[in-house]
Formats: sequence, structure tokens, C-alpha cells
Amino acid sequence: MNKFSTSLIILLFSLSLFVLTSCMDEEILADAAHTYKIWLANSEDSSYYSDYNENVALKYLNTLKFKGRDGKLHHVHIEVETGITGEQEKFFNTMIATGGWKEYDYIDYSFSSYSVTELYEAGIALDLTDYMEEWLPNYMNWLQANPDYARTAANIVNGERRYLTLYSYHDDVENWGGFVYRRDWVLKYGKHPEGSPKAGQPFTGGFDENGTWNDDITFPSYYTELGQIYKENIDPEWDGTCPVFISDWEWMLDIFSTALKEEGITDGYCTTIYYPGYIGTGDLISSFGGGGVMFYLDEEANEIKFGGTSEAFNTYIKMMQIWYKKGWLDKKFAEHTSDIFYQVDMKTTHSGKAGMWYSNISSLFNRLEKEIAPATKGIYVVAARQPINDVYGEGKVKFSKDNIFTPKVFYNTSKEFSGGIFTTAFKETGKDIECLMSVLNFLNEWETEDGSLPGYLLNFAGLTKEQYETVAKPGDMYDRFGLTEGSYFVKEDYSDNGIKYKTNPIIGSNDALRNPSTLNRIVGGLQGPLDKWKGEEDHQVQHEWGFYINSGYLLRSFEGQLGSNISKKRNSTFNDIEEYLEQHVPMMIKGDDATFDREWANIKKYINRLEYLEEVLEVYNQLLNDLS
Amino acid sequence: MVQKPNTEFQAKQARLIHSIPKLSFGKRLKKDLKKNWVVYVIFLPVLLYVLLFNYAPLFGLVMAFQDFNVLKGVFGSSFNNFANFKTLFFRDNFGIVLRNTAGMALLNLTVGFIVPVIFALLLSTIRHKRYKRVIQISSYIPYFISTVVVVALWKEFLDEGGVIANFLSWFGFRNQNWLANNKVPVFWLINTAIDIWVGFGYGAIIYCAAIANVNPNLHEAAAIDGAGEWKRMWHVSIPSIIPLVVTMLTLRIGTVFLQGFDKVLLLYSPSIYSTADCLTTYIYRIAFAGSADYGVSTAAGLFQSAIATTLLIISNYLNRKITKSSLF
Amino acid sequence: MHEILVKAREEHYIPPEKRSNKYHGGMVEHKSWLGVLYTVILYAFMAIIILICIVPMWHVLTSSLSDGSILLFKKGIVWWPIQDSGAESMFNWGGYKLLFRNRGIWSGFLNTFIYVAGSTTLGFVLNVIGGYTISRKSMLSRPLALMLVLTLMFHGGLIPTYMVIKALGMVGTRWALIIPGCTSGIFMVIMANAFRNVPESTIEAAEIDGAGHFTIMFQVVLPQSLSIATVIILNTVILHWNSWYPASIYVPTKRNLWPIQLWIKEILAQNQPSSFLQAANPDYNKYLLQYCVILIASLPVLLLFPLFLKYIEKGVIIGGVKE
Repeated sequence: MNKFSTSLIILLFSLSLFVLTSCMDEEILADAAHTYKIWLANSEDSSYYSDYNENVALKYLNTLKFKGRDGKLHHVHIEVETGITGEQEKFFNTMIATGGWKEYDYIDYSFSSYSVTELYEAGIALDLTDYMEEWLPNYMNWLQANPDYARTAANIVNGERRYLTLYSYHDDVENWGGFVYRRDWVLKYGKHPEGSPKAGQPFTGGFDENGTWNDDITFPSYYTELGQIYKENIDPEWDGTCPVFISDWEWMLDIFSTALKEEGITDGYCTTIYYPGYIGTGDLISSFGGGGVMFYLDEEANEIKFGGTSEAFNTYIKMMQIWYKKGWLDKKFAEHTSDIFYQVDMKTTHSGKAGMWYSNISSLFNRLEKEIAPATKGIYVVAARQPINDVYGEGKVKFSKDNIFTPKVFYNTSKEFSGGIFTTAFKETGKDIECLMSVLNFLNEWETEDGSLPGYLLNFAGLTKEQYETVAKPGDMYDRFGLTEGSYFVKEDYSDNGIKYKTNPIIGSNDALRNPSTLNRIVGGLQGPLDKWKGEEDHQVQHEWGFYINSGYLLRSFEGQLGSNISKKRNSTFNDIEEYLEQHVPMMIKGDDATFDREWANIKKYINRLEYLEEVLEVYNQLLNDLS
Repeated sequence: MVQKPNTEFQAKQARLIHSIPKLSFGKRLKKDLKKNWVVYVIFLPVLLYVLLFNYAPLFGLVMAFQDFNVLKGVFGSSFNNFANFKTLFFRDNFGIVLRNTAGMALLNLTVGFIVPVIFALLLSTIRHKRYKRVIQISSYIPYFISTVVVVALWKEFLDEGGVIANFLSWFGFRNQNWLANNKVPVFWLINTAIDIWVGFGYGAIIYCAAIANVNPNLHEAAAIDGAGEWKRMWHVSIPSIIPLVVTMLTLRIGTVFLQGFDKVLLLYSPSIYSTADCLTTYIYRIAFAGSADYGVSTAAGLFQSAIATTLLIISNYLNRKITKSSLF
Repeated sequence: MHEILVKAREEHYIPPEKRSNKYHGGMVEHKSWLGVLYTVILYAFMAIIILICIVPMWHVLTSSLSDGSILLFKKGIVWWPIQDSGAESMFNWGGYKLLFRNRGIWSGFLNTFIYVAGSTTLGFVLNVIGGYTISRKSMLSRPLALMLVLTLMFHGGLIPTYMVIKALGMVGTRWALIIPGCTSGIFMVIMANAFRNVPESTIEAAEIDGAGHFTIMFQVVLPQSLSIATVIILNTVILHWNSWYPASIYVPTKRNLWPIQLWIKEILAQNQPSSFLQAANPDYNKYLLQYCVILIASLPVLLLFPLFLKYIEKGVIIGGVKE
């Protein structure tokens, strides 16, 4: 026992020594009025660093000087505190409810249950309207260049436009995700469709000696009347080499089920879907001419509508039910509840056992080819545009000669990301809040007059070699992950498509390094393209995923406009519907026709009984009018 | 100073004598304070602790009667009387939630309760001391694993192709992810099974101790009469631990609505809400899942507390009746 | 409840010297074939029970030493670390290396030690004081006991509790994780029940000897209730060892104050297959992290447990031998 306690004491002592020595403070250049505390919702993976303040780009930022209230340049010190993964919402609510927000000068707004207007009315969010022109001109410049986003960037409070939030914008619409399919399986197990000159013959192609992919795949709808209508009205350049209709998809799914059989894969599936049976933001539902499941903007009617009881949604579920019955849909789709909608069951999809899924760029082309999973041998994954329904239902939900439409509501392709709010805490602490605004203005800087590196690069690209060397320390994140040459390079010649900056190839091959090596997590900064989309393959991806333009998905900045009286009602309505659908839509998909009809009736009954739905819709439409 | 009674008998007499003239409450209190004031002073730190950390936050219960707005706080929000309770009771799924809570509680109270007792009885018939010790120590292990880990492990085992699902498929059940099965008793049984796995060894300690202290002569006499292990257990061990079992059971009734539900939050998923959603998770979702409706959430919590308190009082009463002892 | 246990013991207890040796000393019992069959079945059944209790932790241990890329697609129990056919070593320590490269783990361990030690000590003192007071025959003992029991039933909720603790200036400090959760009303009530079983005569004798309340508390009644006291201490230790929730509320942004379990939660959340599979060359050792942290976090309590067990069993016996 004695030995035991002695060794325990020694252990504790050495542990504490270790901890104490590892927490040596940096030298702080700034004075108290220029020391800020900000809260960010997302922390970095602790294998990069355990504390966001160890972020090298942040350390660099803390050596710079910014213009303060008095017009002079000051050193700033920004201290970042981050949320716990999965606990952010709880933290945010507690912070707001207990006055804990007063500790922070700037707060990430992503996990708020309250609208910005509410936070402003409660005296928490600072009204930035009077500061904008003088202290955040770069941000305003961007908004001026992008009027679509400027419309909702300010909130209407008592009839006046007020800037309450600083949003993160991405200067270029860059599609990061969408539907993808196994083109190599189509090639191997498919045949030229009917109507094609080579009907019935196998496809030819594959990787050539240089590793470039070639094939002669055409999709069946190209040879139909509808296909020609599509070509005439929607995409004249379409040559049938990519799927555009649900019928193309079904043709493909059929091929995938053959492929699974032939390859002897028993734990795979043709396609899967997010666990409620749908993606709440719209996506495939929009293929039926409708919008999302919740509120969406019908641009033609200039009206906000509710999609949960729509014909389009019903037909969509019908299709899923049929797919499920035919064995095309993952039998266990409803069980992947802990997955994010663009990362459903990656264990299966990324080991080459699925035919089609919703993904981000990580699964494209032959990126999934790994030694460990034999099913990924020779894999070739390609992006697909939203399909259009030409199979199910009647009338408005089905594409026909008299009913030509395109999908309009999906989550992707928005330039706007989450935002942050300045708090009113500085009024008590006397901090130089204008100087902090200068910092964020710097992170929104797109161009400089003197040719120096603009601030958005620090936000989005990280540090150059020269910048890194001013703050370098052995053992820091750049050092450990081989970024000592800088996280991006400035190109000498500007000839290459006007691209001036090149990402360090180490980040290029491991995108997960981008966030920890930059200030990307700090909301409210500007993001922009570097050299990411250059290859021909990448152009195909952007072309497919970006083919239809999202006009119906409500921006967060729009939702943030709701006042306190309606926001709570909106939230509870939203949650009630979501919870009910999450339980009942999978039942419809998995059930027989009787279950299908019964559950649909239940859903309609439930939604119609909700107290505030009408009121919320009304307020939304009022807001829409006010803004335009 | 009152002369202290020396024996139990005298004490009883003294109590009787005291109660006959029936001093007024105030006087008795005064007397008691005079006699025991030191003890009460010693109690002060505990009192302070309980008042601060348990009773002071109870002011939050007024949220149950408020149209609570986080931004305005408890003191700024307006009262809406019983509207929160109305919302709660008339919500579509409240009936299901109650049913699930009761179902799981009942299983815990019956199956979950009896397993440690049986385990202790069986253990008592093992003669090999080393083996007995090994069994005992291994049976405690699950108790030391944190809930999050326990749930993660069980999820893995219950999944299709997992060890439990495989095992059950030998008995003709479809190999499936059992946590996605929304037939009525499945989730309840899983919940109880996990509870048992975690606590049976630890819960058996007290019964083992009681059985170990049974007069060996009784066993011996029975053995001479030709009674086998079974008979001896039935006629000797079981009767001797019955009073303890009754006390433990009544205690359990009082807390059955409050404990053991936290893991449901980690286990369930929307597709099995219909069988897995219970008061604890329901309250959690109302409070934290987006809508942040603290009013209704507090009302639901208050409702849960009321049920638990009623059960506790009943069980304490039963306990006192049956075993002549009580918690308070 | 303890009262009953002790009563049962008192009624049936025979001191060891008076016990017949025949029964416990392995006398030649006449055993029918049925008895033998019963014994065989029982022993086999218990062996299964042992397996059921041990296998999950064994599975975690072997998984943590396996090759992540193969493990990812493996279903069922891992009986022995699985490696790639070309692997040089039987064990893959990659997961542990990754884990211990994480500095949070170390400070987490230290913090957890501090929290467990602090709250167990404080809680223990409060339990003894509270238990002693309500075990005394006084007019207020029952109302006080009821007051303690009610704390089990009613909770103010997250935000009011937070506000109280904030008003006490504890938010963001270690105290918030040591003081508020160090004991519970039910512990004191159980302690009191144990104290009540100490014979009145013993206490009186001590009082006549001039012992004060604290002496009686810690030197007379407590030693006689060791088993229950140990059980309560053990419960407190386990509770605090496994706790992360209070830390996620009171010190969420102060990572240097995080206990080990919060780090584990964070590490698990950040290393889901969905995040590491996205890299062009995924580090499959990240998949092992979850198993490594489970093992690392459970090991200290598992190792400490036999120590406690000795006391619990000793306590049970002492409790039985008195009078």
C-alpha cells in the first residue's frame, strides 16, 4: 500500500510537471484594450493541436497591427475558445441564458437556437450598421458585388435595415458535394441501350496507359422523345453521356444490382440515402418539381412554401419505396443515424461496395482505390447532376412535353456560410472593438493596392514561407505536418489562368489539413478559390454538380431575420415536423402500400394540426416582401 | 439534563412516558434543541451544501409555469400558468413516452431486480473458493466501464453480424441490427439486458454477504437430511435473505422512474422512438434539440419528479410495514 | 437496507470457532449423480458468465492492437489482434502512439485525479457528518433525512444550477467539478442507516469516556460501518472517474481543466471513420483510437478495484462479527 501511494504521488507529480511545462504562455504584444476573446463553435482535431490558440496562422495574426478607434495602429491579441464537438448548441444556449456571453467580444453564431434579431433585441448582438462603412469596408465591397447575398445580409428591425451579423462568404461557387456513381460498373456490366446504333453491345473503354479514363457510355433517355425535349429546352450540349432522368438512374441501379451479384458483394447496395429517407434541404425531392421538405422559396411564384405535405414529396417517397422493394436501396439506410448527409455509411461506400451515393469530392474518380479493399480495384467514380423525374406520378411532378422543369432546391451551391456576431460586452469592458473589426475587415480583404498579399489568404490559405518563419517554433503544427515551406506558394508567373497562389501539395492531397493550418474556422472571413479546380475531370464535376442553380433553399441569413415572437414558434414547428417525419418516412419506404397510405395520412394529419405552421409561413412571406 | 436511559427497555419506557403527557411541539423542540444543538451545528456544512447545490437551483422550477424566454431569464419571463403542462400532456407522443418509460421501469423492477439475487444464490453453491473469487471479480468488471463505452460496445455487438445478433440467429431470429427493431419489447429488453450486464455482479455483493452469514448448521442439518444443493438453497438460503430482498425491492420502486435512462439517449434513433423514447430522453430533446423549450421541458421534469416522489413515499411506507425499517 | 442485512446476520450468525467444520471444511458429502450433474452445469454456466463479463474488454484490448484497415471491415469479436499478412509484429501500437501524442490525454489524467481525490474526500466528510446527524435519535433527524432524500427527486435544471454555481464564482474553475457533485443525499441516508446499527451501548460507553461528537463519528461508528463506507467511496470514485457532463458545462472552453473523459469524448467525436476516410491516404490507426481510449480510461479503476474489494469484504465480515 505504501509503495503504491508513493508511486501514485510520483506519477501525479511528474504529470503535473509535464502539464505545467507544456502550457508556457506566449509573449503578448497587445494591451488589455486590444486583447479579445472570441468563441468558435468548431474546434480542431486534437491531433493537430489541443488548443486553437496554438494555430500558427492565429499566432501570426497576433503579431500584426490594426487600426484602432483612435486611428492608430495597435497590436492585437485574439484569444480563441472553441466548442466541444456535439455540445456546441448546449453551450451556446447556456452562454446566452446565463450572461456568459459577456466574456466574449465575438461569437460564432452557427449553433444558435435564436435568430440574430432576437439576440439584438436582447441586447447581446451589437448593431454594426454604423460601423460598416468605416471599419468593415472590404466586407461591404463584397456585398456590393454580390447583390443576391446583400439582400439578406442585413436584418430588418422595426422597418430599418440593420447589420447584425458578419457572414462568411465564399467568393466562388464551388460545389463540394452531390450525387456520385460507379462509372466503372456501368462500363463493365451495362450494355448500349435501346435506340442506340450499337444497342445490345457491351460498352468499351477504361483507363488507358496514361491513366486517363475513356468510355463510350450513353444513357437510355438520350434516345427517347423526352431526351430530345430535354436537349432542346434545357441542355443543348447534352450528348447522352451522363444521366439526367430518373429513368437513367433506374437503368443504372439495375446494372449495379447485377454488378453486386457478379462481384459477389453481399454487404453492399446499389444506393443509399440519408437516414430519415430524404435530405431535408430538398435535393432529390426537387427532382419532382417540388422544393424541400420544410420551407423553401418558389422563385417563380415569389412565395415561400412548405413542402412537407406536397405531392412532390409524396411521389418521392413512393419512388424510394419502390427502390426499396426492388432491393436497390440500402436495407439499413435508416440506421446510419450518426452520419452526416454527405457522408452516409462511408465504410461501405468508400470500400467500393455501393453503386451510387451522395458524397463530397473525397470519393471522386479513382481516389477510393486502396489496397485494403479489393472491391475498389479499378474504381472510377463520377459526379452526377440532379436527376429529373420522368417515371413516377402524374401532372406537375413528372417531366413531360407540357411540363418542363428543372430541380431548384438543394443545399449546395451557396456562397454564404455561417456567421458571427459582435457582442455588446465592450461597452462595459471598454475594449477597442473597432480594432477587432479592423481585424475581420482584414480577413475580408480581396485585393491590395500595393500588391502585398491580401488578408483573405491568411483566412483561407494560411501562411507563406516568409510569414511562417516569423512565428515558427519547432514542434508546431506546420512543423509536424511538413508545411515549413508554407501552406501555399505565391506563383512567380501569373499566366496560368490567372491563378496566382498554389496550395502546398501536402494539403492538396489531404484536405483535412486546410482548416488547422488556416484561420478558416474564424467565421466572418472571406474565402476564395486557389488552384483547386483545374483538371478536366474537376471541370466535369463542377459542371455536373453545378448544372442547376439553387434558388429555393432558404439562406441562413434569411432565417436569421425572424423576430423573437415568431422564432420560437418556427423552431418548435420545425422540430416537431422533423421528428415526426424522421420516424414515419422510413416506415413508408419500408412498408407495403397500405402502410404507405396510412402513414402519409398520418403525416398530413399531424402537420395540419400544428398550431403555428400557418403563422410561420405568413411571417416568412411578409419578410420576403419586405426584403424585396 | 435528562437522565439517559440505559437499556433498550428503559428507552422504550422513557419514550412511552414522554409521549403520555404529550408536551406541546414547541416545548419538545426546545428541549430537543437544548439537548442536540451540538449535533445540529455539526450538520451545518451539510445543510449549507444541500441548500446551495440542491435547493437553491429549485427556483428554476417556476419555468414550468412560465412562457420561458432564455433571453429574458427566469425573472423576466411571463407566467402562463399550466399551459406548458397542457402542451406536454396533449402532445401526440406523450402517451407512447409514458408507456415506454413504464415498460422499461417494470422490466427493470422485475427481471433486472431478480437476476443479482439468483446470481448470488447460485454463487453460494459453488464450493471451489478460487473459482468463486474469479467469478465474483469478473462479474464486477462491467460496473466500472463508463456508460458511453458500454453503449458503444453493445451497439457493436447488437449490430447485424455482431456477436449478439449472430448468437440470436442460431435460435431462428433474423440476423439484424437489433437496435433498429421497433417491435415492442425488443428495445426494452435490450435496455434491461444492458442494465443487468452492468450491475448484476455489483448488485449481488449485498446478497452474497447475507447468504454467507446464514447459520451453516442449517445447511448441515439439511444436508444430513439428504437435501441436495437445490433443496438446501430453496429451504435455507432463500428464506434467510427474503427480508433483505424485500427492502431492496421497495427501495428500487422509489427510484425506478429516475435511474438508468441516460443510456437510452445514446442507444436510440428516430426510427425506434416509438418504443425507445422515455421521459428522460423526451425532456432532453425538448430542452436541447433545437427548440430549446425550457418551459415544457421543466414541466415534464416536474411531472417525472412527482411520480418518483409518490412511488418513493409508497415504497417507504410498504418498507416500514413489512420490514419495520425505513429510509426516512 | 443495511439494517436488515445486519439483522439477518445477527440472527443467523455463528462465530467461526463455533462453526461446524463439516460443512465448510470439505466434508465428504454424499453426492448423488444428480448433484454431480448440477455442479457440472453450474460450473459451466459460471464459466459462460465470466466470459460474458470479460470478453467485451478483451475485444477492446485486441482491437486496439490490430491493424485498423482490416479491423474497419471486420465484424464480430476480435479474439486476437488481427494483422496484415505481411506485418512484422503481432501487435500494432500505432493507435496508442497516436493517442499519447495527444497532449490533452496527460492533462486530462491529472485533472481527473484531482477531481476524484478532491470530491471523494470532501464527499466522504460530508457523508459521515450528515449520516451521523440523522442517525442520532433527535426530533429533527427524520425531517432532515426527508430533506436529503428529496434532493434525489427534484432538480432545478441545467440553467438555474449553472446560475447558482456561477454566483458562487466557481464557473471556469476546478471547484465547479469538485464541490457541487461530491455527494448525494442518498449516500448520507445510507450512511445513517449503517450508523444506526452500531449498538447504542458502544456509543454510550464512548460518551462516558468523554468522547466528543467527532471522536464518536470517526473513531466509534465509522469503523463499525466500514463496508458501507467503502461502497459509497467506491461509488463516488467511479462516478467522478467516468464523468464528463459537468465539465462540458462548467469548464467547456478551458481545455487545461478538462477531465480525461471529456478528452475521450472529443477524440472519439473527431475520429469517426467519416472524417479520416476522406484523406487521400487515410491513417487507419485513427480507427484504433476509440479502442485505445476506452482501455486507457478504464484501466486505472479496474486496477484499483481489488484494493477496494478487500475493504468491502473485510467490512462485511467486521459488520457481522460485532457483539
